[in-house]
Amino acid sequence: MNLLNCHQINELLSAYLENELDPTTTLTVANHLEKCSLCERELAFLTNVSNLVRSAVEQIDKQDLSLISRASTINAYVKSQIAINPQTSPQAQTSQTPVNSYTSAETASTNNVVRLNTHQRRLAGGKKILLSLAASLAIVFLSLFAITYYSTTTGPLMSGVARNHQLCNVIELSNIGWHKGHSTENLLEVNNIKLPQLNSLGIEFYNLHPCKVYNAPFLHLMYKKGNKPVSIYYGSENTVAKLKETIPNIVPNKLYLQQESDLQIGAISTLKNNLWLIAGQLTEQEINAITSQLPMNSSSETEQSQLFH
Amino acid sequence: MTTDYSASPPLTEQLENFESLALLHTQTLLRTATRMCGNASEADDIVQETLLRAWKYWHTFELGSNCRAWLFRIMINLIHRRRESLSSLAEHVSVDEPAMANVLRFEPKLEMDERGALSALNSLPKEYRDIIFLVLVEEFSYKEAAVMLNVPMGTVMSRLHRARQMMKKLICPDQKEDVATA
Ligand SMILES: [Zn+2]
Ligand SMILES: [Zn+2]
Repeated sequence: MNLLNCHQINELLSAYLENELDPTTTLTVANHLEKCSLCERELAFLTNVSNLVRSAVEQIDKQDLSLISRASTINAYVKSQIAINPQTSPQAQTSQTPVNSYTSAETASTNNVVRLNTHQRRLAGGKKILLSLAASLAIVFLSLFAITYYSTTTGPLMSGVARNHQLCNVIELSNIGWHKGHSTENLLEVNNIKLPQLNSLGIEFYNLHPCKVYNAPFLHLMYKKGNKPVSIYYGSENTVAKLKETIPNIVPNKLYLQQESDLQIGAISTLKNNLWLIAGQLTEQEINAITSQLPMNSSSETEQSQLFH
Repeated sequence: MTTDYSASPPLTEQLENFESLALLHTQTLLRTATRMCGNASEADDIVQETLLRAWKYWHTFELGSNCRAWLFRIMINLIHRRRESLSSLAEHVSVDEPAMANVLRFEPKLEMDERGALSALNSLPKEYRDIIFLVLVEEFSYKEAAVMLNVPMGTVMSRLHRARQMMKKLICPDQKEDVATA
Protein backbone atom coordinates (compact mmCIF):
# COMPACT_ATOMS: atom_id res chain seq x y z
CA MET A 1 0.00 0.00 0.00
CA ASN A 2 1.17 3.46 -0.87
CA LEU A 3 2.49 5.52 1.98
CA LEU A 4 1.32 9.09 1.64
CA ASN A 5 2.64 12.03 3.59
CA CYS A 6 0.50 14.38 5.64
CA HIS A 7 0.15 16.87 2.84
CA GLN A 8 -1.15 14.26 0.43
CA ILE A 9 -3.49 12.84 3.05
CA ASN A 10 -4.72 16.34 3.77
CA GLU A 11 -5.81 16.73 0.15
CA LEU A 12 -7.95 13.61 0.48
CA LEU A 13 -9.69 14.44 3.73
CA SER A 14 -12.64 16.20 2.17
CA ALA A 15 -13.44 13.26 -0.07
CA TYR A 16 -12.84 10.94 2.86
CA LEU A 17 -15.53 12.79 4.81
CA GLU A 18 -18.02 12.37 1.99
CA ASN A 19 -17.19 8.71 1.58
CA GLU A 20 -16.08 9.40 -1.99
CA LEU A 21 -12.72 7.62 -2.00
CA ASP A 22 -12.22 4.15 -3.39
CA PRO A 23 -11.80 1.39 -0.78
CA THR A 24 -8.00 1.24 -1.06
CA THR A 25 -7.52 4.97 -0.62
CA THR A 26 -10.08 5.03 2.18
CA LEU A 27 -8.00 2.43 3.96
CA THR A 28 -4.80 4.38 3.38
CA VAL A 29 -6.36 7.51 4.86
CA ALA A 30 -7.95 5.63 7.78
CA ASN A 31 -4.61 3.97 8.54
CA HIS A 32 -2.82 7.29 8.50
CA LEU A 33 -5.43 8.92 10.73
CA GLU A 34 -4.98 6.21 13.33
CA LYS A 35 -1.36 7.17 13.71
CA CYS A 36 -1.25 10.88 12.95
CA SER A 37 -2.86 13.25 15.42
CA LEU A 38 -2.08 16.23 13.20
CA CYS A 39 -4.20 14.92 10.34
CA GLU A 40 -6.81 13.70 12.77
CA ARG A 41 -7.10 17.24 14.10
CA GLU A 42 -7.37 18.61 10.59
CA LEU A 43 -10.18 16.16 9.89
CA ALA A 44 -11.96 17.32 13.03
CA PHE A 45 -11.66 20.93 11.81
CA LEU A 46 -13.06 20.11 8.38
CA THR A 47 -15.90 18.14 9.95
CA ASN A 48 -16.63 21.04 12.21
CA VAL A 49 -16.75 23.48 9.28
CA SER A 50 -19.21 21.22 7.47
CA ASN A 51 -21.41 20.82 10.50
CA LEU A 52 -21.51 24.55 11.10
CA VAL A 53 -22.51 25.26 7.52
CA ARG A 54 -25.19 22.62 7.64
CA SER A 55 -26.68 23.78 10.89
CA ALA A 56 -26.59 27.46 9.88
CA VAL A 57 -28.34 26.74 6.60
CA GLU A 58 -30.79 24.43 8.31
CA GLN A 59 -31.66 27.14 10.81
CA ILE A 60 -32.27 29.64 8.02
CA ASP A 61 -34.49 27.21 6.13
CA LYS A 62 -36.45 26.45 9.25
CA GLN A 63 -37.02 30.13 9.93
CA ASP A 64 -37.76 31.14 6.35
CA LEU A 65 -41.50 30.64 6.37
CA SER A 66 -41.87 32.23 2.94
CA LEU A 67 -40.47 29.08 1.31
CA ILE A 68 -43.64 27.07 1.80
CA SER A 69 -45.96 29.62 0.28
CA ARG A 70 -43.55 30.42 -2.55
CA ALA A 71 -43.29 26.73 -3.40
CA SER A 72 -47.03 26.19 -3.40
CA THR A 73 -47.55 29.26 -5.60
CA ILE A 74 -45.03 27.90 -8.08
CA ASN A 75 -46.58 24.43 -8.04
CA ALA A 76 -50.04 25.87 -8.60
CA TYR A 77 -48.75 27.88 -11.55
CA VAL A 78 -46.92 24.92 -13.08
CA LYS A 79 -50.00 22.73 -12.73
CA SER A 80 -52.17 25.36 -14.39
CA GLN A 81 -49.72 25.57 -17.30
CA ILE A 82 -49.77 21.80 -17.64
CA ALA A 83 -53.57 21.83 -17.64
CA ILE A 84 -53.50 24.31 -20.54
CA ASN A 85 -50.90 22.35 -22.43
CA PRO A 86 -50.69 18.77 -21.24
CA GLN A 87 -48.39 17.65 -24.05
CA THR A 88 -44.92 17.14 -22.64
CA SER A 89 -43.27 18.08 -25.93
CA PRO A 90 -43.69 17.52 -29.67
CA GLN A 91 -41.49 14.45 -29.43
CA ALA A 92 -43.48 13.01 -26.59
CA GLN A 93 -45.68 10.86 -28.78
CA THR A 94 -42.91 9.11 -30.61
CA SER A 95 -40.55 8.63 -27.74
CA GLN A 96 -42.96 7.14 -25.26
CA THR A 97 -41.17 3.86 -25.46
CA PRO A 98 -39.60 1.47 -22.99
CA VAL A 99 -36.46 3.61 -22.80
CA ASN A 100 -37.94 5.67 -20.02
CA SER A 101 -39.19 2.86 -17.92
CA TYR A 102 -38.28 -0.43 -16.43
CA THR A 103 -38.12 -3.43 -18.60
CA SER A 104 -39.61 -6.16 -16.56
CA ALA A 105 -38.63 -9.72 -17.09
CA GLU A 106 -40.78 -12.65 -16.10
CA THR A 107 -39.65 -14.16 -12.87
CA ALA A 108 -40.28 -17.82 -12.57
CA SER A 109 -39.94 -18.53 -8.89
CA THR A 110 -42.39 -16.09 -7.43
CA ASN A 111 -45.24 -13.91 -8.53
CA ASN A 112 -44.41 -11.13 -6.13
CA VAL A 113 -41.11 -10.02 -7.61
CA VAL A 114 -40.33 -7.08 -9.81
CA ARG A 115 -37.02 -7.11 -11.59
CA LEU A 116 -35.68 -3.67 -12.32
CA ASN A 117 -33.54 -2.92 -15.29
CA THR A 118 -33.24 0.73 -15.93
CA HIS A 119 -31.86 2.34 -18.99
CA GLN A 120 -29.59 5.11 -17.99
CA ARG A 121 -29.95 8.13 -20.20
CA ARG A 122 -29.57 11.52 -18.70
CA LEU A 123 -30.52 14.27 -21.05
CA ALA A 124 -30.79 17.98 -21.07
CA GLY A 125 -31.17 20.44 -23.88
CA GLY A 126 -32.48 20.37 -27.39
CA LYS A 127 -29.80 18.61 -29.41
CA LYS A 128 -29.80 15.65 -27.13
CA ILE A 129 -33.52 15.19 -27.59
CA LEU A 130 -32.81 14.21 -31.17
CA LEU A 131 -30.27 11.74 -29.93
CA SER A 132 -32.74 10.33 -27.49
CA LEU A 133 -35.30 10.02 -30.22
CA ALA A 134 -32.84 8.11 -32.32
CA ALA A 135 -31.97 5.93 -29.35
CA SER A 136 -35.57 5.14 -28.58
CA LEU A 137 -36.29 4.30 -32.19
CA ALA A 138 -33.30 1.99 -32.14
CA ILE A 139 -34.64 0.28 -29.07
CA VAL A 140 -38.11 -0.08 -30.57
CA PHE A 141 -36.38 -1.61 -33.56
CA LEU A 142 -34.43 -3.99 -31.36
CA SER A 143 -37.45 -5.05 -29.38
CA LEU A 144 -39.20 -5.97 -32.59
CA PHE A 145 -36.67 -8.73 -32.83
CA ALA A 146 -37.27 -9.68 -29.23
CA ILE A 147 -33.81 -8.69 -28.12
CA THR A 148 -33.83 -7.50 -24.56
CA TYR A 149 -31.75 -4.44 -23.94
CA TYR A 150 -30.39 -4.12 -20.45
CA SER A 151 -28.21 -1.38 -19.16
CA THR A 152 -25.89 -1.94 -16.24
CA THR A 153 -26.63 1.35 -14.57
CA THR A 154 -29.55 1.55 -12.24
CA GLY A 155 -31.41 3.64 -9.68
CA PRO A 156 -29.31 5.57 -7.17
CA LEU A 157 -30.39 3.82 -3.97
CA MET A 158 -29.84 0.36 -5.40
CA SER A 159 -26.44 1.34 -6.85
CA GLY A 160 -25.62 2.95 -3.51
CA VAL A 161 -26.27 -0.38 -1.84
CA ALA A 162 -23.81 -2.13 -4.13
CA ARG A 163 -21.13 0.47 -3.42
CA ASN A 164 -21.75 0.51 0.31
CA HIS A 165 -21.76 -3.28 0.53
CA GLN A 166 -18.30 -3.44 -1.00
CA LEU A 167 -16.82 -0.50 0.88
CA CYS A 168 -18.13 -1.52 4.31
CA ASN A 169 -16.72 -4.98 3.90
CA VAL A 170 -13.27 -3.68 3.10
CA ILE A 171 -13.38 -1.37 6.11
CA GLU A 172 -14.81 -3.97 8.44
CA LEU A 173 -12.33 -6.69 7.49
CA SER A 174 -9.36 -4.37 7.80
CA ASN A 175 -9.89 -4.09 11.56
CA ILE A 176 -9.38 -0.35 11.60
CA GLY A 177 -12.87 0.63 10.62
CA TRP A 178 -14.83 3.64 11.80
CA HIS A 179 -17.57 1.21 12.62
CA LYS A 180 -15.91 -0.27 15.67
CA GLY A 181 -17.12 0.30 19.16
CA HIS A 182 -20.85 -0.14 18.66
CA SER A 183 -22.66 -2.49 20.94
CA THR A 184 -24.64 -4.97 18.90
CA GLU A 185 -27.37 -5.52 21.44
CA ASN A 186 -27.96 -1.87 21.98
CA LEU A 187 -28.43 -1.02 18.30
CA LEU A 188 -30.97 -3.78 17.83
CA GLU A 189 -32.74 -2.77 21.01
CA VAL A 190 -32.91 0.90 20.07
CA ASN A 191 -34.41 -0.01 16.72
CA ASN A 192 -36.65 -2.61 18.26
CA ILE A 193 -35.83 -5.36 15.78
CA LYS A 194 -34.83 -8.94 16.21
CA LEU A 195 -31.75 -10.08 14.40
CA PRO A 196 -32.84 -12.07 11.32
CA GLN A 197 -31.63 -15.67 11.80
CA LEU A 198 -30.32 -17.00 8.51
CA ASN A 199 -28.28 -19.97 9.77
CA SER A 200 -30.68 -22.39 8.12
CA LEU A 201 -29.65 -20.83 4.80
CA GLY A 202 -25.96 -21.21 5.60
CA ILE A 203 -25.68 -17.47 6.19
CA GLU A 204 -24.07 -16.38 9.43
CA PHE A 205 -24.29 -13.06 11.17
CA TYR A 206 -21.05 -11.47 12.32
CA ASN A 207 -21.38 -7.72 12.81
CA LEU A 208 -23.55 -4.63 12.58
CA HIS A 209 -23.22 -0.85 12.56
CA PRO A 210 -25.17 2.28 11.65
CA CYS A 211 -24.49 3.14 8.03
CA LYS A 212 -25.45 5.56 5.29
CA VAL A 213 -26.57 4.44 1.85
CA TYR A 214 -27.32 7.11 -0.74
CA ASN A 215 -27.31 9.55 2.15
CA ALA A 216 -30.04 7.73 4.01
CA PRO A 217 -29.46 6.17 7.44
CA PHE A 218 -29.64 2.39 7.73
CA LEU A 219 -28.72 -0.26 10.20
CA HIS A 220 -26.17 -2.38 8.35
CA LEU A 221 -26.27 -6.06 9.34
CA MET A 222 -23.27 -7.98 8.05
CA TYR A 223 -23.50 -11.67 7.32
CA LYS A 224 -21.32 -14.25 5.61
CA LYS A 225 -22.20 -17.09 3.34
CA GLY A 226 -19.02 -19.12 3.30
CA ASN A 227 -16.41 -16.46 2.64
CA LYS A 228 -18.77 -14.22 0.65
CA PRO A 229 -20.22 -11.20 2.43
CA VAL A 230 -23.98 -10.66 2.55
CA SER A 231 -25.39 -7.31 3.63
CA ILE A 232 -28.82 -6.65 5.04
CA TYR A 233 -29.89 -3.08 5.63
CA TYR A 234 -32.80 -1.91 7.71
CA GLY A 235 -34.14 1.63 7.36
CA SER A 236 -37.11 3.70 8.39
CA GLU A 237 -39.69 5.72 6.46
CA ASN A 238 -37.39 8.30 4.95
CA THR A 239 -35.43 5.49 3.36
CA VAL A 240 -38.61 4.26 1.71
CA ALA A 241 -38.94 7.78 0.31
CA LYS A 242 -35.48 7.38 -1.24
CA LEU A 243 -36.59 4.20 -2.94
CA LYS A 244 -39.69 5.97 -4.21
CA GLU A 245 -37.41 8.14 -6.29
CA THR A 246 -36.78 4.95 -8.23
CA ILE A 247 -40.10 3.16 -7.84
CA PRO A 248 -42.88 5.72 -7.48
CA ASN A 249 -45.63 3.28 -6.53
CA ILE A 250 -43.80 0.90 -4.30
CA VAL A 251 -45.96 -1.95 -3.00
CA PRO A 252 -45.25 -3.26 0.52
CA ASN A 253 -44.13 -6.88 0.87
CA LYS A 254 -43.17 -6.99 -2.77
CA LEU A 255 -39.58 -7.81 -3.60
CA TYR A 256 -37.81 -5.52 -6.04
CA LEU A 257 -34.69 -7.07 -7.52
CA GLN A 258 -31.79 -5.59 -9.35
CA GLN A 259 -28.49 -6.92 -10.63
CA GLU A 260 -25.41 -4.73 -10.14
CA SER A 261 -22.45 -6.47 -11.81
CA ASP A 262 -22.04 -9.69 -9.79
CA LEU A 263 -24.23 -8.48 -6.95
CA GLN A 264 -27.90 -9.23 -6.60
CA ILE A 265 -29.79 -6.51 -4.75
CA GLY A 266 -33.24 -6.87 -3.28
CA ALA A 267 -35.50 -4.25 -1.74
CA ILE A 268 -38.68 -4.88 0.16
CA SER A 269 -40.75 -2.41 2.16
CA THR A 270 -42.89 -3.46 5.08
CA LEU A 271 -46.50 -2.71 5.95
CA LYS A 272 -45.22 -0.30 8.57
CA ASN A 273 -43.24 1.53 5.94
CA ASN A 274 -39.76 0.39 6.92
CA LEU A 275 -37.33 -0.87 4.34
CA TRP A 276 -35.13 -3.93 4.03
CA LEU A 277 -32.32 -4.10 1.50
CA ILE A 278 -30.32 -7.21 0.75
CA ALA A 279 -27.04 -7.38 -1.18
CA GLY A 280 -24.60 -10.13 -2.02
CA GLN A 281 -23.46 -12.58 -4.61
CA LEU A 282 -26.77 -14.37 -4.33
CA THR A 283 -29.30 -15.98 -6.58
CA GLU A 284 -32.84 -14.74 -6.81
CA GLN A 285 -33.99 -17.83 -4.90
CA GLU A 286 -31.56 -17.08 -2.10
CA ILE A 287 -32.78 -13.49 -1.84
CA ASN A 288 -36.32 -14.80 -1.70
CA ALA A 289 -35.40 -17.22 1.07
CA ILE A 290 -33.72 -14.43 3.05
CA THR A 291 -36.75 -12.22 2.60
CA SER A 292 -38.98 -14.81 4.20
CA GLN A 293 -36.84 -14.66 7.34
CA LEU A 294 -37.11 -10.89 7.76
CA PRO A 295 -39.55 -9.41 10.25
CA MET A 296 -42.12 -7.89 7.93
CA ASN A 297 -45.35 -7.13 9.74
CA SER A 298 -44.95 -8.91 13.00
CA SER A 299 -44.70 -7.35 16.41
CA SER A 300 -40.94 -7.57 16.04
CA GLU A 301 -41.14 -4.72 13.63
CA THR A 302 -41.03 -1.35 15.30
CA GLU A 303 -43.84 1.21 15.04
CA GLN A 304 -41.52 3.97 14.06
CA SER A 305 -37.88 3.23 13.70
CA GLN A 306 -35.84 5.31 16.05
CA LEU A 307 -32.76 4.90 13.96
CA PHE A 308 -30.57 7.97 14.42
CA HIS A 309 -33.35 10.04 15.92
CA MET B 1 -48.39 -10.02 -10.13
CA THR B 2 -45.32 -9.06 -12.09
CA THR B 3 -45.59 -5.38 -12.83
CA ASP B 4 -45.01 -4.51 -16.43
CA TYR B 5 -43.52 -1.07 -16.67
CA SER B 6 -42.58 -1.45 -20.29
CA ALA B 7 -45.84 -0.26 -21.80
CA SER B 8 -45.94 3.44 -22.69
CA PRO B 9 -47.29 5.30 -19.73
CA PRO B 10 -50.53 7.12 -20.53
CA LEU B 11 -50.60 10.88 -20.05
CA THR B 12 -52.54 10.69 -16.78
CA GLU B 13 -49.88 8.44 -15.38
CA GLN B 14 -47.16 10.77 -16.58
CA LEU B 15 -48.96 13.62 -14.87
CA GLU B 16 -49.27 11.65 -11.68
CA ASN B 17 -45.61 10.72 -11.81
CA PHE B 18 -44.65 14.30 -12.45
CA GLU B 19 -46.63 15.45 -9.44
CA SER B 20 -45.36 12.77 -7.12
CA LEU B 21 -41.75 12.77 -8.32
CA ALA B 22 -40.96 16.27 -9.52
CA LEU B 23 -43.27 18.74 -7.79
CA LEU B 24 -42.25 17.15 -4.53
CA HIS B 25 -38.90 18.91 -4.81
CA THR B 26 -40.08 22.48 -5.38
CA GLN B 27 -39.15 23.66 -1.90
CA THR B 28 -35.71 22.08 -2.10
CA LEU B 29 -35.09 23.65 -5.49
CA LEU B 30 -36.26 26.98 -4.18
CA ARG B 31 -33.96 26.88 -1.18
CA THR B 32 -30.90 26.21 -3.28
CA ALA B 33 -31.90 28.67 -6.00
CA THR B 34 -32.34 31.39 -3.38
CA ARG B 35 -28.89 30.63 -1.99
CA MET B 36 -27.26 30.60 -5.38
CA CYS B 37 -29.01 33.61 -6.91
CA GLY B 38 -29.13 35.65 -3.75
CA ASN B 39 -32.50 36.99 -4.80
CA ALA B 40 -35.84 35.51 -3.87
CA SER B 41 -37.88 36.60 -6.86
CA GLU B 42 -35.15 35.55 -9.29
CA ALA B 43 -35.10 32.21 -7.53
CA ASP B 44 -38.87 31.89 -7.93
CA ASP B 45 -38.58 32.55 -11.66
CA ILE B 46 -35.79 30.05 -12.07
CA VAL B 47 -37.57 27.29 -10.19
CA GLN B 48 -40.75 27.92 -12.14
CA GLU B 49 -38.86 27.72 -15.41
CA THR B 50 -37.04 24.61 -14.19
CA LEU B 51 -40.31 22.82 -13.53
CA LEU B 52 -41.90 23.88 -16.81
CA ARG B 53 -38.84 22.64 -18.68
CA ALA B 54 -38.90 19.47 -16.63
CA TRP B 55 -42.48 18.84 -17.71
CA LYS B 56 -41.64 19.60 -21.31
CA TYR B 57 -38.92 16.94 -21.24
CA TRP B 58 -40.65 14.64 -18.79
CA HIS B 59 -40.83 11.86 -21.34
CA THR B 60 -37.03 11.80 -21.38
CA PHE B 61 -36.81 11.43 -17.63
CA GLU B 62 -36.02 7.90 -16.82
CA LEU B 63 -38.20 6.61 -14.00
CA GLY B 64 -35.42 4.62 -12.45
CA SER B 65 -33.11 7.57 -11.97
CA ASN B 66 -32.88 10.26 -9.36
CA CYS B 67 -35.47 12.94 -10.03
CA ARG B 68 -34.06 15.46 -7.59
CA ALA B 69 -30.65 15.28 -9.30
CA TRP B 70 -32.30 15.56 -12.72
CA LEU B 71 -34.21 18.68 -11.66
CA PHE B 72 -31.14 20.22 -10.08
CA ARG B 73 -29.24 19.70 -13.29
CA ILE B 74 -31.87 21.61 -15.24
CA MET B 75 -31.91 24.34 -12.62
CA ILE B 76 -28.13 24.77 -12.36
CA ASN B 77 -28.07 25.05 -16.13
CA LEU B 78 -30.59 27.88 -16.00
CA ILE B 79 -28.73 29.61 -13.19
CA HIS B 80 -25.48 29.45 -15.15
CA ARG B 81 -27.14 30.86 -18.24
CA ARG B 82 -28.60 33.65 -16.18
CA ARG B 83 -25.20 34.43 -14.71
CA GLU B 84 -23.63 34.49 -18.16
CA SER B 85 -26.20 36.90 -19.50
CA LEU B 86 -25.83 39.06 -16.43
CA SER B 87 -22.09 39.31 -16.83
CA SER B 88 -22.35 40.11 -20.55
CA LEU B 89 -24.91 42.80 -19.81
CA ALA B 90 -22.81 44.55 -17.25
CA GLU B 91 -19.24 44.09 -18.22
CA HIS B 92 -17.64 46.58 -15.96
CA VAL B 93 -20.04 46.33 -13.08
CA SER B 94 -19.37 43.71 -10.50
CA VAL B 95 -22.22 41.27 -10.85
CA ASP B 96 -21.24 38.89 -8.16
CA GLU B 97 -24.48 38.03 -6.48
CA PRO B 98 -25.24 39.31 -3.03
CA ALA B 99 -24.56 36.73 -0.42
CA MET B 100 -27.33 34.59 0.87
CA ALA B 101 -27.79 36.31 4.22
CA ASN B 102 -28.21 39.72 2.60
CA VAL B 103 -31.31 38.75 0.68
CA LEU B 104 -33.26 37.21 3.48
CA ARG B 105 -36.32 39.16 4.46
CA PHE B 106 -35.79 38.30 8.06
CA GLU B 107 -32.98 38.26 10.55
CA PRO B 108 -32.18 34.60 11.20
CA LYS B 109 -31.53 33.63 14.80
CA LEU B 110 -28.21 31.83 14.77
CA GLU B 111 -25.58 30.70 17.20
CA MET B 112 -22.38 32.72 17.20
CA ASP B 113 -20.34 30.08 15.38
CA GLU B 114 -23.11 29.43 12.86
CA ARG B 115 -23.12 33.13 12.12
CA GLY B 116 -19.36 32.99 11.63
CA ALA B 117 -19.68 30.05 9.27
CA LEU B 118 -22.36 31.84 7.30
CA SER B 119 -20.35 35.01 6.82
CA ALA B 120 -17.32 32.93 5.85
CA LEU B 121 -19.48 31.11 3.33
CA ASN B 122 -20.77 34.39 1.96
CA SER B 123 -17.28 35.65 1.32
CA LEU B 124 -16.35 32.67 -0.87
CA PRO B 125 -16.32 33.01 -4.67
CA LYS B 126 -19.59 31.69 -6.04
CA GLU B 127 -18.25 28.53 -7.63
CA TYR B 128 -16.98 27.46 -4.21
CA ARG B 129 -20.24 28.42 -2.56
CA ASP B 130 -22.18 26.42 -5.13
CA ILE B 131 -20.23 23.26 -4.48
CA ILE B 132 -20.85 23.60 -0.75
CA PHE B 133 -24.57 23.96 -1.32
CA LEU B 134 -24.72 20.99 -3.65
CA VAL B 135 -22.49 18.52 -1.83
CA LEU B 136 -22.49 19.56 1.81
CA VAL B 137 -26.04 20.82 2.13
CA GLU B 138 -27.97 18.92 -0.53
CA GLU B 139 -25.73 15.87 -0.16
CA PHE B 140 -25.33 15.11 -3.82
CA SER B 141 -22.49 12.74 -4.67
CA TYR B 142 -19.37 14.10 -6.37
CA LYS B 143 -20.50 12.41 -9.55
CA GLU B 144 -23.93 14.00 -9.47
CA ALA B 145 -22.45 17.42 -8.70
CA ALA B 146 -19.94 17.02 -11.53
CA VAL B 147 -22.74 16.30 -14.00
CA MET B 148 -24.74 19.29 -12.77
CA LEU B 149 -21.86 21.71 -12.90
CA ASN B 150 -20.49 20.22 -16.09
CA VAL B 151 -17.00 19.81 -14.64
CA PRO B 152 -14.80 16.73 -14.08
CA MET B 153 -15.21 14.87 -10.80
CA GLY B 154 -11.68 15.81 -9.81
CA THR B 155 -12.68 19.47 -9.98
CA VAL B 156 -15.59 18.85 -7.63
CA MET B 157 -13.23 17.14 -5.22
CA SER B 158 -10.56 19.82 -5.28
CA ARG B 159 -13.04 22.71 -5.24
CA LEU B 160 -14.81 21.33 -2.22
CA HIS B 161 -11.54 20.79 -0.44
CA ARG B 162 -10.43 24.30 -1.27
CA ALA B 163 -13.77 25.66 -0.10
CA ARG B 164 -13.42 23.90 3.23
CA GLN B 165 -9.86 25.15 3.62
CA MET B 166 -10.93 28.72 2.93
CA MET B 167 -13.79 28.41 5.37
CA LYS B 168 -11.50 27.01 8.00
CA LYS B 169 -9.08 29.89 7.58
CA LEU B 170 -11.90 32.43 7.82
CA ILE B 171 -13.50 30.82 10.82
CA CYS B 172 -10.34 30.26 12.78
CA PRO B 173 -7.70 32.58 11.29
CA ASP B 174 -5.19 31.93 14.07
CA GLN B 175 -5.08 28.22 13.30
CA LYS B 176 -1.57 27.54 12.13
CA GLU B 177 -1.17 25.73 8.88
CA ASP B 178 0.97 23.08 10.47
CA VAL B 179 -0.42 20.26 8.38
CA ALA B 180 0.19 21.72 5.00
CA THR B 181 3.79 22.45 5.83
CA ALA B 182 4.51 19.26 7.74
ZN1 LIG C 1 -0.67 13.15 8.96
ZN1 LIG D 1 -22.01 -0.29 6.45
